[in-house]
This record gives sequence, C-alpha cells and structure tokens, in this order.
Amino acid sequence: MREPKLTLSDRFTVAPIRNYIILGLACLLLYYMVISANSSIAAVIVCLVGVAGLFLNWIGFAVIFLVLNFWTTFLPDFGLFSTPSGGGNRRDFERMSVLDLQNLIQNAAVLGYLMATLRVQALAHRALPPEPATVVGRLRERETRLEDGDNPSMKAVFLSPRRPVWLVKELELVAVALTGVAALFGGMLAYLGLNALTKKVDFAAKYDMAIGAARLLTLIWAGIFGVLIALALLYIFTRRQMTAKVARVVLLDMFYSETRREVERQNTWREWFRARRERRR
Amino acid sequence: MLTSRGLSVLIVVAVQMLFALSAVETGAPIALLGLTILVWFVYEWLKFLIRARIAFPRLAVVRTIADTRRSIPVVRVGREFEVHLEIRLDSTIPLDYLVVDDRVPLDVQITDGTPFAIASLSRDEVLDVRYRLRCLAPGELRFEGVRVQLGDAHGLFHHRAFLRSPLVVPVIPTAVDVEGKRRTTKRDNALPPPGVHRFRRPGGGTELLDLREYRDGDPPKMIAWKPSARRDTIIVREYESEVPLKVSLFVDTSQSVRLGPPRRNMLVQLVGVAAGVAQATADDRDLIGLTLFDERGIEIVRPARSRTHLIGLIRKLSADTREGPMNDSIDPRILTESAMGVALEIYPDLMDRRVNRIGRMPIVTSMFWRPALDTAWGKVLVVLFAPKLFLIGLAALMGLTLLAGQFEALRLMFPIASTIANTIALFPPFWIVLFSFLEVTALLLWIVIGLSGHFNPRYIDKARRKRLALLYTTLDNAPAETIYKYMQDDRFHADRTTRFLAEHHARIPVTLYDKEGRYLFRSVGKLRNLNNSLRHAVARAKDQELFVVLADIVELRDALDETLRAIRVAMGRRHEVVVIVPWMPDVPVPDDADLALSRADLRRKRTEALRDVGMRGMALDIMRDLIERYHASWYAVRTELSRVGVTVMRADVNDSVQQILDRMEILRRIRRR
Repeated sequence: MREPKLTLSDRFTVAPIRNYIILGLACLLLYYMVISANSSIAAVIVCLVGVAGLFLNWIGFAVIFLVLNFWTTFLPDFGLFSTPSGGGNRRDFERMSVLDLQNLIQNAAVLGYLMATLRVQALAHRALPPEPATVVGRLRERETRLEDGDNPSMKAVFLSPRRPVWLVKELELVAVALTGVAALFGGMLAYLGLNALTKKVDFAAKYDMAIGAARLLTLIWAGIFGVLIALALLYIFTRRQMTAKVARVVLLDMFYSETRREVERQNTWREWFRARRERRR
Repeated sequence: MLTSRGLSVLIVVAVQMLFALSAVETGAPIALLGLTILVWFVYEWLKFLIRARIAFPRLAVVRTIADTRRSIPVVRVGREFEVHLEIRLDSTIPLDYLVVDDRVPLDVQITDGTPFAIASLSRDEVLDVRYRLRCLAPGELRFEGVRVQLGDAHGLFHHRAFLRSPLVVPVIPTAVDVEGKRRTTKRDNALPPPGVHRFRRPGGGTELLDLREYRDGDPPKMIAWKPSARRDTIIVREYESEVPLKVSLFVDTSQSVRLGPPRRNMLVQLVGVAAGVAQATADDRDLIGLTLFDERGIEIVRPARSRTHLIGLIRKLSADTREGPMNDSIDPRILTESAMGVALEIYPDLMDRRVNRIGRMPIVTSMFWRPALDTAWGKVLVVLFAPKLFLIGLAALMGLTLLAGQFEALRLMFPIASTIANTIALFPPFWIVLFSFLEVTALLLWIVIGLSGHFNPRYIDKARRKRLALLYTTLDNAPAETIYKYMQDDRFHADRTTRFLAEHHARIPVTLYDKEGRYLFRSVGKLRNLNNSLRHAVARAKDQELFVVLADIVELRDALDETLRAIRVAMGRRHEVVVIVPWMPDVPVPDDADLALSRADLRRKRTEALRDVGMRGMALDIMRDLIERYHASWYAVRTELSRVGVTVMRADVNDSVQQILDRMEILRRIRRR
C-alpha cells in the first residue's frame, strides 16, 4: 500500500500533521524568546532552519537545528552574531540549578520541536528506511535486474512508506506532551545523578584531573556499565525467546567454531595423502 | 534497528554531550539538554524494543486460497483466485505501526487488490489482506510468507522480520473448451462409443467380424441361422473386439527443458500440452498413461481412465516442473551468491549474524584466522621459540628435580646447566637482545600468518558458504558434521544449493557452454531412455495405440538414429506416433518463408547484420547464429521424422492438443485396418 504523496498545502489541511506543525512552531517561538537574549540574529537563523525542518522533506534540518542550538548555547563567543562572553546562558555545573527557568524553557522547546519535526517527517515524508541497508537489499536489487521485474513483490522492497495519518490516535498529542514533560524531569534527574556520582567517585581528586574531564570519565564509565547490564539483560531475554530452530543454529555454530580447526587439519592431511597416492600411481 | 535518522540524532546528541560535560564553565545547559534528549531517546528505544522483542514475534499469519465461493487446494492456469491473509497478534502489547508485504510468487498477475498493508494491530484485531491473482503457467505456486516491518512514530527505529508460512499450491492447466468439453456421445453410428474402439480380433463387440463353423462350446445365440440354412452346417457369427483406446505420453523432464526463467521454460510448454491431452482423453473415457524420462531414468505411470488417475497424473506433471536446471558445470560461488539473497530474505532469523556467525571478532578465534602451526611456517616458529623454550624447560626440570630431592640427578645435570648459564652470562645483553628479537619475530610472524587468512580472495564466498551450510544443516535436521561436508565438498554444496533455490522457486544461474563452446545441456542419455521406454511401451501394447512423444530433440538431430528405429518399430506394429517439440523461449518462431530464402538472400541479410558494430553488433551476431542454427536443426529433425511418417509439431502452437485429439479420432475410425 503506497500512501499518496503529500503536497506542502496538505500539511496545513491534514489535521494530525497540522497539529504537529503548530506544536513545532510554538516550540520555535519559545526557543526564539530564550535565545534572542544572547543573539537575536543567531536565534533567527536557528529558527529559520527549524521552520524549514517542519515544511521540507529533509530530516537533515532537524540535525542542523541541534548543531546550531549547540553553537548558540555552548559557544556564544564563537559565532559572528552572538553576544560577547559572559552574557546570557553561561553557568557552570556547580552553580546551575536544574530548575533554572530559562534552561527548562529552552530544553522543553528543543525537545518539543524535535519530537514535532520527527513526527511531521514520519507522517508527511518517510517513516521507514527507503531500502534495506543490509546486503539483502543489494542482492535483491540484483535479483530484480536479473528477473527483469517479473516478480511484482520485488519492487515493493524499495517502498518507503510514510506513516498514514489515520494511524494517529486521538490522544496522541497529549501523549507526546506527557512524554516530553517526563523526559524533561528524567533529564534533570539524570543530571543530578551524574553530578552526585561525579562527586562520589571523585576521579578529579584521585587522578588529579580537571572537573570536566572527571565528569566525562564518570559518564563514560556509567555508560559502559549501563550498556553492559542492558546487553546482559537483553542477551538473557533473547535466549528465553529463542525458537527451537534458532537454538539449533546457535548450537551448530558453537560446534563449528570449536571443531573447525581440527577438522580442517584432518582434511589437509587427507588431501595430502590423496595427492601422494595419485603421485605414486 | 536504528534508522539513519535515529543514528544521526543519537550521534549529534552524544557528541554535544561529550563536549558539554568536559567543559566546566559553559557546558551545563547543553549537558542538561543532551541528557533530556537522551532520556527521551532511551525511553522511545525501550518502548520499541519491548514491541519488537516481545510482541512482534507473537504475530501469526494464516493464509487461505479461495475462488469465488470456497477455499481451494489447487488453482488452474488463467483463472483468478483470491489470496486471503489473516494476521493476528497474540500479545497484550499493541503494535502501532506495522507494514505488511506478502511475498508474491513468481510469474503471477495481480488482478485486484494489493499484497501490502499498513496497520496498527492489537490483541483483539485481525489484519486482513486480500488480493486476487491469476496464474500464467502450470506448475506450483509457493507462497513463502510475509515480510513485516515494525516502525515507530518518529521514524527513529525499525525492525524487519519474515513470517514464514509456506504454502505450496499446485497449478494445473486448464483445458480450453474444444479440448476440455469433449463430447461424451457418439457423433454417428460409424463410430464406437467414446472410450472404445474396434479391434479386428474376435471379441464381445457389436460389429460383425466374420462367420465360421460351429465349435463345441459356442453359445447357441451366436448361431447365424440364415447362413447355416444356406450351407447346411451350423455357422456362428464372430464379433469384433471393442477395446479402449490407449494414449501414452512420453514427457521429457531432462535438464535441457528446465532451462529458462522459472515457470516459463520448455518443460512448462510440454506439461501444458500433456495435461491438456490427458484431460481431453480422460473426458473421452480413453486410457491415458505417462512416462517421464530424463538423463537418469524412466518413470512410468500405467494407463488408466479414472478421475483419480487423471488428477494424480496432472499433479505429477505439475510437481515435476518445480526443479530447476542443473549440471556439474555450475560455479558453486555463483550458486552461493544467488542462494544467499533468498536465504537472507526468507530465513532472516536463522541467517542473523548474531547466531549464524562468521566470527570476525575476536580476530584470533575467527574462522578466517590462519593457525600458524598448521602451515609450513609453523616449523620456523618452533625454531624461533626453541632456544628460549629450551632454557625454560631446563630451568623447570632443575626446579622439579630439586623439589623431588633428586640431588644426584641435580649433580649430574648441574655441569650442563652451569655451562649453559656461564655461556649466557658471558654476554648477557647479547643473549637478551637475541632472545627478544627471536620472540618478537616469532610473534609478528604468527600475527601475519594468522591475519593472512582474512585476505583470502575467497573470504566472502567462504563466509557465505558457512552461513548457508549452517542453514541447510538446520533445515534438514542433519548432523553437525554436515557443515564440514558443505564447506569442503563443492559438488555436495552445489547440489543442496540448487535444491534450495528450486524449492523456493528462485532462478538458478547455469552455464550453457563449456570453454570449448560445447553445449552442456545436450543430453544423449535422455534419448537412450526415450528409446527404451518406447520399446517397452510397444512390447506391452496390444493393438493400435497412440504414442505422444513430448521431447526437446532439436539439439540432438545427429543422435536420432536409434529413436527413429524405435519409432519405426512402433509404426510397424500399427501404432500412431506424434512428436511434439518444445520451443526455446528466446528464439523467434521460424517463418516458413525462411525456407524459401536463397543463399544470396541469406548473404545479403548477413551483410546487413554486419553493419551493427561493437558489442551490440557482436551480441546480435551471436543471437542470429543461434537462431539460424536452431531453425536449421528444427527443420532437419522435422524432415527426418516426417520421413518415417511421424507427425511433428511445436509445443507452442495453440492447436497442438487439438491435433493430437484429431489423431485419436482417426485411430477410433480404424483407418489402418
């Protein structure tokens, strides 16, 4: 099922897309109000990129928006259009409160915009990869050429369907808002937790390093442990879900890995013996 | 599982986080923002993971093939039928965004509906996918299953799977009206009723054969009173036998007729004709028998006339079209490449790199790591390590002797050890450098030899072959050692791969000519089997029968002597023989006007053809040569067979079935009494 292509005007007439566009624009307005205190021109540039992300079929705008936001927030002295050092948003970790209103609004605006623009792209442009990224895609493509298109389903592989608007539920916007609020508080908690953990392990004092590097090291270690635990849980869960055939493949694979070398050595000797016998004949 | 969109967002946020966290003064706000986005991202990921890992595997698909009224076990060529998919979810976790794409078999037309669907699915819902198909050729339809993709609302994640629900549906040819709806009553009184024909032997028929004198035991009702009165002796009437008409089909199932696109090859043509003849013959209540022959042997189905026999016969014919062509010259690497695409598509769970590994990491335990001691360089390694190993061994021996209290032995060994120790002690730096150099060299050599396995030109092929070997072993429930056989034995691997491709109705890449330009599918062996089966049929035949030979013999015109002899024997026994030759799909049908072309015309045509230059011209030239050679062979075969009185037809001609039926009608009229 291929959904018909949407025009630019459809984004204003189709209700679910329009709602997300309005959400995205509202977030951009909030963002502008916060960032324009540092540099109004930079804020305008970022917001223009943001608006383009809502109306044009290129997901790169959302990524560029994030990068520009980093620029205006993290390096206000770096740009041509920003205010001089010491203004606006500059606070360090120790002094900055997680409940700082300016940060809260900025974070809410960025997160809200990101969620809105991604959903608009999924509804209006594409929600799944355009073609398989693995070797399957390439082989299928080749097979399609060989078959000269006589398999109708082969062409379907390259479909990149967008999410149909009728799949949008009534209360989806509310769910998005609630998720956003929960993520904001989750981010604050993570921030507090990271600071507390940095103080607890105190890499800075132990290894005589800068506080920033110590915090980064703490995050990296926390990330590694977190990922390891998550992978272990996932591994256990995957094994529990495994079907009989997949389990057989796993066992055969282990058997193969363990005995491959010995069998190959035996085969080498067999080949040698066969060749010797042939020579003697 | 991450889409490119998800990956780019994750990378940007992660890089920003790294910068922000390492900066004390200005990083706090962006770190907080990064953590917020990360928390949201992880939440969405977990949500998707739960759906993909818990709910998604609980999808189940039920497929029904139906015509307008009810579900059907077989479909007929040219008739529409409906494919109905019911997809259910046996989980309380709903799937919000599901893309379903049914894998439609080859060579069918979608006449209505679509095999795709996008939906959300929860426990109580059923996703219905309906579409209508029309089959174009007899054989088998194989529905493998459904490709399913799960997405999320942001387009950050996706998950693919294949719900296997294999269903094989035989496709039987449909007899057209003139063939299928045959009369079941006598057209005129000169003909016996359908299903029998007259045979000039005394029997229980209705037509008078002869008059003869009375013998003991003759029933009184046979007495012909008037002739008896005239001759003054008892004369009895003898009637002709009424025997059923027998048609024997000899169908070529050799590798040469299997060449070509699946379900559009020459075998499909032959099966179409054979099935049409079988149905028409059965409708006339005549006996129909079948002999399948190829290079390997003969398979005979005895003549019968029941409906069950006919269905069995057609199923046998349809099933026989399933296998693809195969010969020993197929490059296993090309086969592997073709099979890999099919396997990855249909068995993604069994081909997943996490379970069916090629062991890239860690490198030392990878299947491509080349063990140094297994190579000729192994001896060099031993030599390089030997001095140090000797010293370590000596020290260990001394230690052990000391521990065991063997002072005498120690005393004996001491002079040797002290001599060695003194020699080493003379130039300690030299020995340290020498041993270190030897060690480092040995280590480097070990690494280089080990890694050299990764640069094997057949690296990719071996990796693919291993994954396929594991798949085949799993599917066949074969013992684990079979993997090694697949890895080591090219022929074994090629056979199984060909079977795998044929089972899944995939195209099999074959080599047609060898390096010396010989056609590899020219099979004289099948002619031998055809001759044997013809002789066998003639030996068992009682009276006039019809032998229909459906065989690709165009390429074998110089090996037809024995076949002609067998045909002559059959004709000598008053049987009818019809030969139907399938036509190569890519070759245009010969125009009879070609025969009239003079040599000058041909020369002119060739000169015109030479105007095409370059590769295109060369390709056209080769194609022209092929067509000319094929046409010439066809005419030669037709001429030779016609000389012995055999009717030769092409299988692609629409009325070939009708012509066979006409021939049967002639037999029924006993033209050759």
